Amino acid sequence: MLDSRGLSPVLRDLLALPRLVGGAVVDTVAYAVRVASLVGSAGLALMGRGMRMRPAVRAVWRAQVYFTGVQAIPFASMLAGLVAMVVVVQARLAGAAAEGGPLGRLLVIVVVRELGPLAVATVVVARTCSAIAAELGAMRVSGEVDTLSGMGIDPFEYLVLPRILGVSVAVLCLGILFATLSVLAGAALTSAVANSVSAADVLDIVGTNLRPLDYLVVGAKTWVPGTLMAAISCEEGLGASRSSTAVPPAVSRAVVRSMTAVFLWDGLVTALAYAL
Amino acid sequence: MTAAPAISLRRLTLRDHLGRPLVTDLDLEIAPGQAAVLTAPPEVGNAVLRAAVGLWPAQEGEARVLGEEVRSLPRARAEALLARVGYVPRYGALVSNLSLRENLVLPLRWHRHLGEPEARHEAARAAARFGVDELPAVIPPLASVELRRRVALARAVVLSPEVLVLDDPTEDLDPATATEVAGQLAAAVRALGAAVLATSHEDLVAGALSANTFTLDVPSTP
Repeated sequence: MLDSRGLSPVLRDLLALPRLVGGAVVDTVAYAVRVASLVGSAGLALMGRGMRMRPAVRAVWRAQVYFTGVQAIPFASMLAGLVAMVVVVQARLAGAAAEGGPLGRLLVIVVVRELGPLAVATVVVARTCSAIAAELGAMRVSGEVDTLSGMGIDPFEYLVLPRILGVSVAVLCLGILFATLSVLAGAALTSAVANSVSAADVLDIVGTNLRPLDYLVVGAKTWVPGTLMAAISCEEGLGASRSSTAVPPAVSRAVVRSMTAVFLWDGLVTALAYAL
Repeated sequence: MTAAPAISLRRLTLRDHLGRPLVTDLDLEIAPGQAAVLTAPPEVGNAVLRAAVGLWPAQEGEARVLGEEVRSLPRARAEALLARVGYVPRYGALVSNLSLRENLVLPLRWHRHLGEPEARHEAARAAARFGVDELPAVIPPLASVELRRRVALARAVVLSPEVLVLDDPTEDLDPATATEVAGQLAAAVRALGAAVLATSHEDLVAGALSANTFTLDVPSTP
């Protein structure tokens, strides 16, 4: 049926498309700016206090590092072992496990540079981002965030800053742990399945193949996504409206947007570091 | 020179998030050491108290506490000002991931930079004002309504504030407990010499505080 302007529904939708796409782009850019400003504000707040946190903030930071980092160690360690096993099994099927060289290179390329940071980020998104968004969303609904403001306790400094710092530190440490454990597990498994190659041979080859750039890449692929994930989760949690029905969508958005940010950043770093 | 009023609301107009008027042209001045209790629909009283501590924007007029408008101050000065104000929102709103004791210790560590032992001592003193001699090591959702209410009031006085802003401090309490808590609140207010702006759904709080009472209705919308 034609509308008052004589346009069919299909044509009307087509004409509205640029406005919809434009609106989505503007919303995405505005969201990215908000997340970036949270990260920037965290950095400035920390520098403004001479890189020191108030004792009350430090306590929240410690709790965040413990929850995101320490408590995730068993799960991340298990994943590191499984990833190493998968790589070794596939390498064996491809005939590469019989020699230490290809397998050592494979461990560096697949595990250290790519799968490790992504696996750690996935663990943290599932455990921490959902928890942060749910916790802050619930605090907002119950009026706790406003009450902190009314008591002269800055919610950004007390709730957001320690979470951003805590998650970024924990993800960096988990990333290093994951890479180390998966390489060790890969070397041990290789020596078990290939008689002619010892674990020390594989570790030697891994060491030879690791370039200084790889250390930078692991740092960039863990520390930055950790910061982004925490900022996104805080933004979603604190941005929830004051209704309990607003919390589940906020958690869902925090998980999806954090995952998107992690993969985008990961691809960008890989492209900049190795493809260009 | 006369001291600034503890709380001064001048031609204050507040609207809800849909733009409907909650309060229009409200004038109210509370001198240091004086108390005023508003009898008003919950959303109206809540908005006035939140405006006083800078959590609700005034569409027109101004809300000053200790001579200053919280919302117009830079963050550090607003923090320092609010450290002189004890605020109890509706239902207390204790921080749910902190234990009851940690809820009392938090303002002391934040504003006074006290060490843990001193902060715990001050927290215990504040809790005792409201009849809580022993703080169970539980988070607020696991405590009774009565205990949460007492701890919320203790948190409001823990910094020895000059002004108390209290949103229905005896709501949800049984009559006997409400009377006891109102009496403890009045004793704390006398000891601190604090001014009070409160809302209450009953005369109990106004009577205990010897407060002037004001009745506010929601303005009719055209």
